[in-house]
Amino acid sequence: MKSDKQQFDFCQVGKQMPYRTPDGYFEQSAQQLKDLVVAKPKYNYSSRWWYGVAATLLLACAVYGLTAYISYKSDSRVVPVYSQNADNAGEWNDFAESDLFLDNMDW
Amino acid sequence: MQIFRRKTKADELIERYQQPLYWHIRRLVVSHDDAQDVLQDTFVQIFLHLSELRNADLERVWVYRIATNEALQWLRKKHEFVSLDTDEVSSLADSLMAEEYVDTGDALLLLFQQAIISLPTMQQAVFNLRYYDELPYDDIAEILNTTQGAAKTNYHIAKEKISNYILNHQ
Repeated sequence: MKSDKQQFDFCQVGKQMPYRTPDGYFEQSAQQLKDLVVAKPKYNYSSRWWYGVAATLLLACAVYGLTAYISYKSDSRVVPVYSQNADNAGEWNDFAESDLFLDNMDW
Repeated sequence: MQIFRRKTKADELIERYQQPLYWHIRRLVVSHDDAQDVLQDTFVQIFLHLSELRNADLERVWVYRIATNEALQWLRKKHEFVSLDTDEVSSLADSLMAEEYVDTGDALLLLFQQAIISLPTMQQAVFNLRYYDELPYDDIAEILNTTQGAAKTNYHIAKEKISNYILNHQ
């Protein structure tokens, strides 16, 4: 069924537009764009790469530091023999002399 | 070597897409100054994400999608949201008349652009991509993240609305 409704003829306009640009715009713009895009992404690309490296190094340092700290804390609970002073040495001697196991030993 | 390759690719893409993308953006944002800004942002985005373009056959769709997104994002920022309110449409139509780089000599051409501007954003984008850029519907669907059927329907509705707008305002 053919519609009787009036339609606008698009061929009257075609692909024409009322929009204009300043003279020589595309030549100037092309150079500006080339300068902009070649400079800008290069910076971003390298900075992103460095951010990755810096973050990895920081994480590695943090893990190493934490491990070293835990290890130091657990070691410091045992008092090394060489660190005992003269007062402690007396106590240790008394303890050794009163020790049943040592007394019963057949030297 | 990498910088040289990048520069060659930049020159190639700018030569190929500078003008089509400028006109595509211009039809959406109307003003020349705004189109210039959006075009710059578009090319910056293209080169920031160039490594993500795996399939060279999709290059055209990909660059048009970025340009469309940048233009719509810009419109949203400028008008807070893109709507079909009567006030919004009349302000866009007014901006067309007030724009420096618009030829006001041909009344029919102006009316035709006003009719396009009065469309909802999706119909406007579909109409421009099909009518001016002559892109196939499957490419348009990819660019606008919709289906081929929806793109076709939007195009025909847009044509109908433009026709009615012109006949009512002539």
